[in-house]
Amino acid sequence: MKVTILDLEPGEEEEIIVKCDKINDNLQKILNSIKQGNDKLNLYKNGDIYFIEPDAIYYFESVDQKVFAYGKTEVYEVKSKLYELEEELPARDFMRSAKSTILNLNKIKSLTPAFGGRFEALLKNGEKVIISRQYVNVLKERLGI
Amino acid sequence: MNNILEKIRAIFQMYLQIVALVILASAIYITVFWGYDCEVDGDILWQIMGVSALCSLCTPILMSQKELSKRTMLFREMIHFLMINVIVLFSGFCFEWFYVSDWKMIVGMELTIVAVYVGVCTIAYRMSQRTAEEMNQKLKERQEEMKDTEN
Repeated sequence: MKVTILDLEPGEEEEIIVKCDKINDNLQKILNSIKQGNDKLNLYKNGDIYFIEPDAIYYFESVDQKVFAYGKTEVYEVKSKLYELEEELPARDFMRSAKSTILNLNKIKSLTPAFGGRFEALLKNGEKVIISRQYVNVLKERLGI
Repeated sequence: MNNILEKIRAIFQMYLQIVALVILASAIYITVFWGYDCEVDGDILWQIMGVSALCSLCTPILMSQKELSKRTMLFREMIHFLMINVIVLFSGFCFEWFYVSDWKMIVGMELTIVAVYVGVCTIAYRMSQRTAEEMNQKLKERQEEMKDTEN
């Protein structure tokens, strides 16, 4: 994709013009991020787009090639891949807790040991999320243990 | 490299727990089946340490780099338990810890294996609980810190 940046004429308003045949997923993501800034996530539900603060999301889970964001009671679809989200989300608050899950540390109510060296996180909305043995050390490091 | 070190540490930790519990279990087993006044040779200690080492070498079956489902973990736990049984019963047979003809001794041996196995699992669970308590404390501190920052 060609990117052209032009100087503004005096009195002219800043403007972004997109020249394309059709708006594909990638372009849509770029447009969403321009419209909303980088702090909010673009989430989809019943064909509508929602711009939501990452901190409102309890965890992300990848199911059958699709990624879902779980809020307190709502579930949204995310167009990004889990590894992309991992890079986009604030590292201080989110961590990979299993191969298919990213967890918001601020939403954990308590942790209990689970079978096989895993831990179970009870979230503030009552849901339970498993932290795999491989990620327990990461969590400990994050918490400064 | 870290993964290998972690495995070695886990095996060694498991080894120490097994040795400690096996010595306790052996004292009870010997007292029950061989009598309180029974004299044992010093080589029993080497046998215990050797068999415990073999048992702890089975630990990696419970550790996987891949993410395992609860079902697979249960299956591995069963295989692990079976391996421990084979090692201990075969060693017991070779070192004459029991008579094959005496079913009470075999049952006693099996009960000893189960008791040690449950004991090791309980210790592991207790240690995980302690880790969980520590993490919960840190989480609480972190969340309070964040509340203060927001205010």
